[in-house]
Amino acid sequence: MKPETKKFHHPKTFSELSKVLDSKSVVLAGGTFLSSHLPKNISNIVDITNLRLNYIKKLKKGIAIGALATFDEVANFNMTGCLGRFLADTATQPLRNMITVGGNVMLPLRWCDTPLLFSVLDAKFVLKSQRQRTVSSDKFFSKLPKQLLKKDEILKEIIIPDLKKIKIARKKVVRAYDDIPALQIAVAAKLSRKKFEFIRIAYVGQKPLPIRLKKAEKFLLNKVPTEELINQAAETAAKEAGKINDIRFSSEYLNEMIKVYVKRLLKSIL
Amino acid sequence: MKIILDINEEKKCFEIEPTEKLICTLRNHGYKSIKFGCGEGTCGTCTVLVDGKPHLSCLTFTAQMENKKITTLEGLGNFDNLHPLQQSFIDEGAVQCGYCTPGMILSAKALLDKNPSPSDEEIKKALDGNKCRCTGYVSIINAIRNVAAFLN
Repeated sequence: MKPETKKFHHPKTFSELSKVLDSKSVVLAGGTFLSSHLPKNISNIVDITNLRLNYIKKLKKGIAIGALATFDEVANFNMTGCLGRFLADTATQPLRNMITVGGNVMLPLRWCDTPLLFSVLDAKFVLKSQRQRTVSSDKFFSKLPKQLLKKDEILKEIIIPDLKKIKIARKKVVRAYDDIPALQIAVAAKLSRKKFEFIRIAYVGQKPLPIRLKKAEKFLLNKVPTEELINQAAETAAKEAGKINDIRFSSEYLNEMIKVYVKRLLKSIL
Repeated sequence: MKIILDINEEKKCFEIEPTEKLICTLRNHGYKSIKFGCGEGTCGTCTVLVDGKPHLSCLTFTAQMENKKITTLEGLGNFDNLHPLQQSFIDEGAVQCGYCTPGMILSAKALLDKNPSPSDEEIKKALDGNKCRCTGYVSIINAIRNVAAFLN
């Protein structure tokens, strides 16, 4: 069967966007994934570059990252701190110039870097069509982003808190530098009067969406970090994570890795 | 569909398929310095500069490139008037099979335009998307370091 002719659209406004987005459309951001994995059953490619969402700006309480800001732009923005440093170490230079934060979040695939980082940063996701709504990271990652979005909605921007006050640490469990990680683990914390005022622990295993380890977070919240407390939190995190499947590693090993790295990551940010 | 591309500071009109990749458009119209390698964004042989930054033309739809400035190796220099990076690659013997060289030189140009005095670590980081399976990178890094010293 002859494939359907695909049309390329370049909407300049959200009202133009809503006219061309339908069930047979696919939204194109940086294109690094879509260019080689274009679904066969679509008839419209909607390039959102002209919507000018490639900004990063300081807000009163945090930073707004436009969905089309590239990894390189985030890495070179002077206020993105640890997040910028993580993205500077991701992929290769040409890819960092192409991969957009929004595209990376919207896929998401288990090797994507940003979902886990935004999950532990308690980011807020601004979704826009003709109207605009903001969803929490918990809601955003509760199901695949494509299932969360309405028909003519796209991710407009991601709002993260002020990174001067929050420390983040992350570990990818891989066999080689460019391997698909068996596990990604991240922690983010803010201390106030020597106690954990804010704490987030999450991982990405076989499923692409980040999973928060809320029992371990609750265990640490409002407590003074000690060696014993961190060891117990790591045990709690491993139990909470339960069985993790990966064809390359046993579940027991990955579970042990969660325990080990939650402990190490927490120590690294104190 | 028709598209006007700005390639090496020259505007040209092309008739393209909506899902055509930039590497195909460029190679089909004589820009043969761009090489097809892995086709999935790993090797960097298809690197071009888009608005001065290295991009992988194998992962780029041509239709996305309207109003962008594309630079290929043909835009840097020619046999009679080599770009300092091209000359330095020759002088240092930084070319063996030559397949990765256009991508290497364009990535190096983007680096030197942004940072005229890069450290060796910064050179390595800038070239992390360009794989060479012949030279082992030492002479490539030397060639770029020499140009930086010359320009300064």
